[in-house]
Amino acid sequence: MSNWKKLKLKDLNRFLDELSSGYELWIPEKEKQKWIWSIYDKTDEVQFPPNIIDESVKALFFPKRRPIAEFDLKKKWSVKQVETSTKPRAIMGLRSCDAEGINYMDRVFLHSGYTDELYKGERDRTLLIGMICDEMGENCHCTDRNSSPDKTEGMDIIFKRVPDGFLFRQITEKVSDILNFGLLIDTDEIYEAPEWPRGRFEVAAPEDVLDTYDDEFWNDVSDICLTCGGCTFSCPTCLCFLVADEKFKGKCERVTVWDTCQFSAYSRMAGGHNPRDNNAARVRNRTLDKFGYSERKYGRTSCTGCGRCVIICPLKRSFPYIARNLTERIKEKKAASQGA
Amino acid sequence: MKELIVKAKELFELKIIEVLLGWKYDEIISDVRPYLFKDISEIDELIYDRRSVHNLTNYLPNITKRYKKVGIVLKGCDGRSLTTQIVEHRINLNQIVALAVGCEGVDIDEKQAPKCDDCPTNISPIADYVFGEKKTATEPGYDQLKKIEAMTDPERWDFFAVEFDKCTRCYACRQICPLCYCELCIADQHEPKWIEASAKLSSNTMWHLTRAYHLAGRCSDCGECDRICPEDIPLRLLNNAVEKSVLEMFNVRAGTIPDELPPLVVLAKEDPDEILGGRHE
Repeated sequence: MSNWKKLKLKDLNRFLDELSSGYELWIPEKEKQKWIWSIYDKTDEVQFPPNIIDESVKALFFPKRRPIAEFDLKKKWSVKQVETSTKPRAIMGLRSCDAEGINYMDRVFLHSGYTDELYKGERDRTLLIGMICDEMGENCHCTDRNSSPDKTEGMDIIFKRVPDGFLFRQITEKVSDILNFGLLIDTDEIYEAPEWPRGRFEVAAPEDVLDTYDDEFWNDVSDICLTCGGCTFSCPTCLCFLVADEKFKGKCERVTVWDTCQFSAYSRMAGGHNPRDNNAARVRNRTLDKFGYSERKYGRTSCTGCGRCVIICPLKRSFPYIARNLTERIKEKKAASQGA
Repeated sequence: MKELIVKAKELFELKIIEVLLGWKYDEIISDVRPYLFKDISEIDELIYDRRSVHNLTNYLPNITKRYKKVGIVLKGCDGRSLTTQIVEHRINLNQIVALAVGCEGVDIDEKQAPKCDDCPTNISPIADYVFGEKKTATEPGYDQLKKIEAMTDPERWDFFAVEFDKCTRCYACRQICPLCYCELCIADQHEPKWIEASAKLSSNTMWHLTRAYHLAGRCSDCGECDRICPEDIPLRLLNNAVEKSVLEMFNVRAGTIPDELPPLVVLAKEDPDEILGGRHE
């Protein structure tokens, strides 16, 4: 008997029904051509994509628009803090790259000296049921980012698709009850990790990346970048936000809104001065942040290798591509300096 | 496209251009993408075919700052947006060498782009060199727009409410648009705050409608905003609706005639009275 348990394919919907009675259950759903996250509805035909879900799981913890306080303009001292729901929630079918993203969000929102209560609330009520990818996608490169599609770190339960069902395994102690549902049966089958492809988008060490600050490279690489927010908004580890007060139908709210270093307005200061007023500076900032600054500040580089930025990019020339060129450039420079 | 490559090489050799904006096949992404050719040795990789969907004119302002003479490969719709940008002094025509190709239509996801059905000119109005045949102009059909126009008002609102609600306000539509280039965008202003920064239905609607109106009489229907929207919002419908009104009122399709100012910039005797009173009685 292995430490995996088996769920037969025909029992999937019964399993989900049972799970959704105790949890607010989120699963991937195909809408038009894209996979998004949606709440499980008993009438749904459930499918899991072979690799990444187009929509990053970030939005379930840190939505694009997040009210943090409500207030009434007519009454003084009427500020009320927004509280998160405490209903248990399960996210089923997320991948190792999503879990890596959550790991990074934890570092930023929980362990960097300040605790974001709203994020903590969402995090505490959530159970992560991860899935091992069937295969790596066209743009996937988690294997080049110290991870792999079968990495289980950060998950509470992990499952893997097999021809006639699913294999489940418990990772943390958080959830002893779920795997004891009668539908999961003991099995001899085990998961054997294949040799995952790697080496497509390797990146240099953080100190070497930070060394390129004054390089001419950034002008060349940003010639064709539009500096739209596509890559940052789809990125599971881009967490910048701005705070705004908004009034709608008499109700006033203070909200956090996604913002991105790719906009020129992001770095514009009072009085109009803008220290990052050209494409090159903005592209450089994002790249150095992913592979350099984040390492210094939060102890790990923040690219998880999900490849969503490539899918989103209008020019299909996004970030991993820049990272790869940069790495080549660093190698060239090193070779040249050793030769000289 | 042999002639195109030969001509490009010649221009590089004679030092008429310093760089060339075109397309190149990229093995890593296994697709064609925009590329700035900086050396004659790279030119053999220049590609123009049905995959060359991107509008390259939006890169010109940045590139003309760094290089004095820039060559660019233009399709019909790209050429039309270049015309408007030149009239508006965003780009200096003296710095541009336009290589116009006879466009046979472009593909998005292996199907002909919907914009190609409404194309008024397959060759750029601005052209130093022309490669390929000129096709006769087709009358715009606006097939998708007609479906929307046939809806009742509540139906139409429901349709757009679903679409606008998806918007994350990444402003990819603004950034890719060659004619959306305000130094300080209305959406970025804080005081007064015209459009709220957060992504919700009311402010998203405000943003998309404002953008559509700001492009009235200027949008050349290159379809880039529609193509790249990460949330697949059908932005072309909005632009088409405005474009259709301009066509009906002024009989103008943006950018088809060089040196002509956009219709909403000039006040002419022949202007219809409806522009003051609105189109609906």
